[in-house]
Amino acid sequence: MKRLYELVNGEEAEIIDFEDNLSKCHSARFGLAVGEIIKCRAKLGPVVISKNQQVIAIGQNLSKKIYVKNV
Amino acid sequence: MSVFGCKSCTKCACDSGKEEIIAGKLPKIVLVGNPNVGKSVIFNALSGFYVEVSNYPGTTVDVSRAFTEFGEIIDSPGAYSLGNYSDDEIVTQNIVQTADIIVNVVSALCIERDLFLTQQLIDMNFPVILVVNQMDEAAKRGIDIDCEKLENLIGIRVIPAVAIHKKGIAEIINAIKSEEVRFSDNQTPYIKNLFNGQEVSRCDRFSRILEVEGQDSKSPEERAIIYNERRALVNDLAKQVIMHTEKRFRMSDFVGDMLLNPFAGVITALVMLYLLYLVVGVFVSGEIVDFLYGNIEKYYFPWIKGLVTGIIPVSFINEVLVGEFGVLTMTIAIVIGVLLPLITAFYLFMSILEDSGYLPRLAVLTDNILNKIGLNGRAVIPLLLGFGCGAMGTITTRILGSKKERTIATAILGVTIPCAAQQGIIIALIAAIGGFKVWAIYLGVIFMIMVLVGTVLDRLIPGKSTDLIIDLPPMRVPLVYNTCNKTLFRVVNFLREAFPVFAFGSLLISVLYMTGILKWLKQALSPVVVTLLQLPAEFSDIFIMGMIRRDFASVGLLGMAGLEESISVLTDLQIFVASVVITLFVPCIAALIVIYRERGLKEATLLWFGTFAISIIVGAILSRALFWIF
Repeated sequence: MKRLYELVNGEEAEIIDFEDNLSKCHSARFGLAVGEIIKCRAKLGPVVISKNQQVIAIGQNLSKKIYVKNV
Repeated sequence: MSVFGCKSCTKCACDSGKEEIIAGKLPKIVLVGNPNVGKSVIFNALSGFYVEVSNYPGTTVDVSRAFTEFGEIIDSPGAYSLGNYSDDEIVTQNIVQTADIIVNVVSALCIERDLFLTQQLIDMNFPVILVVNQMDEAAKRGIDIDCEKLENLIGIRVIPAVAIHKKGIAEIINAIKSEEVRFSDNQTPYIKNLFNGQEVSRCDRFSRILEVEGQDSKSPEERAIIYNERRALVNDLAKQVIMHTEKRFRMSDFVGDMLLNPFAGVITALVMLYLLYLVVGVFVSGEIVDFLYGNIEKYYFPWIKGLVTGIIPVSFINEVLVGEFGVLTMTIAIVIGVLLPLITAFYLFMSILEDSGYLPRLAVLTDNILNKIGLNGRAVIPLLLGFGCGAMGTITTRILGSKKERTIATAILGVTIPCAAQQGIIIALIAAIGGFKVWAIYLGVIFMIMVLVGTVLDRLIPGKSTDLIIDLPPMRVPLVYNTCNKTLFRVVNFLREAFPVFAFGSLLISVLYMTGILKWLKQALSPVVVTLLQLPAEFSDIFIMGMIRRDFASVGLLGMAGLEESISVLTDLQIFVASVVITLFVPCIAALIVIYRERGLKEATLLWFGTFAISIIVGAILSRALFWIF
């Protein structure tokens, strides 16, 4: 298990948990939930991930609150 | 009141009574959707030309409305969900409550994300028509949405659309006019259980749901359960209706990815800033402003002065209206001659950046740097606008997520970001004393102060800055019509907000001038200028005029610096110190009034005195420390 911000460019992962309820709700609004497969597209401080056709940038703080595992 | 005959509730268009459109009254149709799904294109297609844009009461969030033969259409700001997460979402939430029909626009490109809001609207028991827009762009990316199946599963009318080509618009109008059922029983299980089949009015239901799942929820656990269930429901729905075909190479994906490369991203940002400077700073601020301002002075001034003096001969009122700082002379000249071209160019540029999908990428690129001063990437938008006009930048700080961020961004705008009028003076002054070296020192000093102000405020102000989470839409070529429309709306909005501010500013200055307070202020400031800044006493004049309008400061200053065909009475070091102090000096009256309105009396006063102190202290230090360079 690692945090989203630890992903490197091109790495694919599955979201497995959120640190708190607020980050869970914030993410759900943008389409991110436990079980989603995401791919790291770029890291410029914020982590840029894609999920299907959607590209989302997640700031460093929030990306530290999302737990993922490699797929 | 609702156009639906609502028996038990008059607050909203709720469903507790018999749903019949009251004869002769037009229904209120609210367009709702996530940002960047083409809501405004649909709004324009539905509304025709008679569009009215106004601020939502108490905010500067743009709300467009139009009256058509089938109803009053309102375009709400983009929202990912209802629940107080941002100013935009609060406005949308309030507008939605008054709706008779909701047209929920989703993008076929990211329907999985967008259906979350749809599901929330269904949970709240709103009458919804679902429009799946951007079907063509999705098809190009190998995504096909089965709208018929979606309609069967979700239980409300679903219309596929390509709004930019007007496809689906007629169907939306027909659906609005028809008596089709727009409610659905397909609700999130937790919400269903919450009401357990009880008959509840829509506003009670709405309030109860927001109580549980809004930003200020008293039960975060309950909210997390609802969000989780809703997300799972929507994901399952999306899986059943999205059909992926093959993925093809897309130029826009390539460009979008390239802009996220740190190296290419920074180069593009620099080129973009340089272009902005060339267009706004050189062309508009020079040529266009000179032309407009010159003609206003030449033709309008004599006419209005003659007209007013004919009715009210020389007196206090005459001075207030058409004197040196007159409401009918100075305000008109500044707003029409200077601000209008500048703001139009700036907003046009921003609209192009926004519609092309570049702005969110710029926010991502700058997020890390802005994090260090307590802001997030979104703050790049007001800061960039501040280079046009401080008042415009300050108004735009409302897009920031927390009070702390808004205060920090306002302070940075007030202290360090030179507006277009200041830039004109600074560029001329620095050009007079040297090139690259002087520029480097100047930018270094300003940047250091910006970091210092941000860091100190970040430490001092309690609370946390909000986390960045933004969607990066595909890069696309902006539509000319839409970009122009957006620019026009924003310009009209800004002028409506700024005109009274500038008029009040002019009035205040006239009073200060006539009562002799202005002269007294100049005298009071002169010891500070001479002893601390080591500048000639005449400089107090320039600073006081700079408080009123930045460009007023330029006239005397450029003369003293040996520009405008005169001989310099200042040393190079004095010119440099003057450039820095003019940049840092207190916000002009218009910006100050906007700061007061946005941030309140306490913050505006603190900011004014803080800025004054910073500019004098920095000027005093530089005038003593940099003697070996100049």
